[in-house]
Amino acid sequence: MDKNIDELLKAALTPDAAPQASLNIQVLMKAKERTNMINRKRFRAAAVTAAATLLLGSLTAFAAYKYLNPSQVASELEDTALQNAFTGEDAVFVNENQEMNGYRITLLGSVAGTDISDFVAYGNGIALDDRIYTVVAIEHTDGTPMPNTSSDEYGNEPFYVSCYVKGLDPKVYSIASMHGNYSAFVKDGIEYRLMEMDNIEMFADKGIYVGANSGNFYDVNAYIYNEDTGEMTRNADYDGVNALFTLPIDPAKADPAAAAAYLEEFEKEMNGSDEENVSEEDLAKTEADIFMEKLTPENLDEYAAPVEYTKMVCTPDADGMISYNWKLEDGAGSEGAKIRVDWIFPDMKPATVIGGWSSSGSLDTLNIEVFKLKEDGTVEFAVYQPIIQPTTQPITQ
Amino acid sequence: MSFEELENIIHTYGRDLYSFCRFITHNRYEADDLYQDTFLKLYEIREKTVIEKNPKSYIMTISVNLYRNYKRKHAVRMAITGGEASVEDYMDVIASKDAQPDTQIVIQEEYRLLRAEINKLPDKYKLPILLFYMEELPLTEISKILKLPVGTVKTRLHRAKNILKRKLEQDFAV
Repeated sequence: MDKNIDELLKAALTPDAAPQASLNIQVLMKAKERTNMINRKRFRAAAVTAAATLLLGSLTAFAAYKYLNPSQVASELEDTALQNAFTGEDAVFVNENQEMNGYRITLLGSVAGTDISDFVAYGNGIALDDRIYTVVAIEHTDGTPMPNTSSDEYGNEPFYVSCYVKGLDPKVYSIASMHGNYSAFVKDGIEYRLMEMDNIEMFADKGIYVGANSGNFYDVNAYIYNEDTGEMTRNADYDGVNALFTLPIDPAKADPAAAAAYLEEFEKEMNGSDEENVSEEDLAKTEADIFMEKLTPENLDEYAAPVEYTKMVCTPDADGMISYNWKLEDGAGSEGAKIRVDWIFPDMKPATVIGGWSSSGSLDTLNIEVFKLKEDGTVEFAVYQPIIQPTTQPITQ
Repeated sequence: MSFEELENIIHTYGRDLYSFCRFITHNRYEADDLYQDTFLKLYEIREKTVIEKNPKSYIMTISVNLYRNYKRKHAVRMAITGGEASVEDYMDVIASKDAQPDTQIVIQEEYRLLRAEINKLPDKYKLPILLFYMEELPLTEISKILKLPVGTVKTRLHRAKNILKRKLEQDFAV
């Protein structure tokens, strides 16, 4: 078993299973079929909702026949998982509206949880899967249709919609800073917004607000934030939209410990700490990492040996650049590399410098580029590999 | 994404995806289902999705998510039928073209054992191995697909390789 495990894995796992042509044809046929079905289904869902509303005649009836419900909004946005989440017991429905300055804002509902959407949001390269999703409808009170999201007019009158936590300064803690985003579409002249951000149900004992203000950002003039009580209220003198709702989330969902941890992480992120999201495993180093940390030009020959056939003498060109290539028997290598000699050897005195290295993590795949500046100004280049001892490898311990 | 774009994507990435589906499901019929559902899901969410940047990564994200759903649904059935099917079903011969017949047998045996051992790995090791070596995706993309930090993916790949190396050494020692 002397074969390199990387090489073996690559060869053994070469994609070699091709789908039958009939399977591909089937996929394409179903895709075409599905396009037609989606249109019909949307229409039917709206009709069923209207019929149910007439029978119930409840206080929320206006919302049920006039607006899409949150599950339908998720469906319109092709998010099946979220569509299902909005039909589950954790979903909260509000169906409350507020009017100001020619607009009617309706908070339709909200749902929160882990992995409840088909779409994954990312923050700093990390998947964010514990989220709260909230749906609002925005419309003109005079019935003028809202501009379609694909039109040039869309965004001319922007709205900033976000959840807020009672007691946390809304100008700091909102959708923009809590890894949020939103999707929107216009149907029957009404704009529907599905916004998502970090799950703040852990703050349920404090109280959660949903606000919609004019503009692209949180507007400190739209609301009054009482720093003593943590309460937010609408500013009656504000010239614009400043809807503010309370989201009735069960206080039993509060998790003070998680909330404290979240705030700690939030602070770190805001302060630019590079310790964020770093788990113990993040910090785990490979054999090669540890080896290279300890390898120096002085102990190079003790722990590594040159691959003889990669040795070459490079003469700097008129610009002081050297070119070097190497290729190992296993195919690893570098072609057409060029570098200025004075970048490697700033004082241009004879020395040995360990350059770049590559490895899949294990010592047996580690290749180290080594440059030696000679008295005559030439540079001797070679690839070194660790001397792997069967019983002990002191440099990695 | 238009219908024509879907056709192009199937043409370009179909083989890579199908190989993944075959390996991960152990069974041609389930592989066909997973393959089909992955592309249909991609087509369904086309309007909300910008996939120009890395279509393969996006396709694999959908496929891994669907696979995890399948696994949950079929857990009971698999327990009743005695667990996972044999990987023999998927033991196609891969040997270098210039290898001699005797060498080919050894290589095939190595590959067969290696695939069998990969198959025995828990998903937390198996998926990174398949996405890295079979799909040749960069670590950053794998971390997004598996919703793990890059460091964790790296560690899992490293541990998986060590496990496989040990197993193969044992197999060949016998």
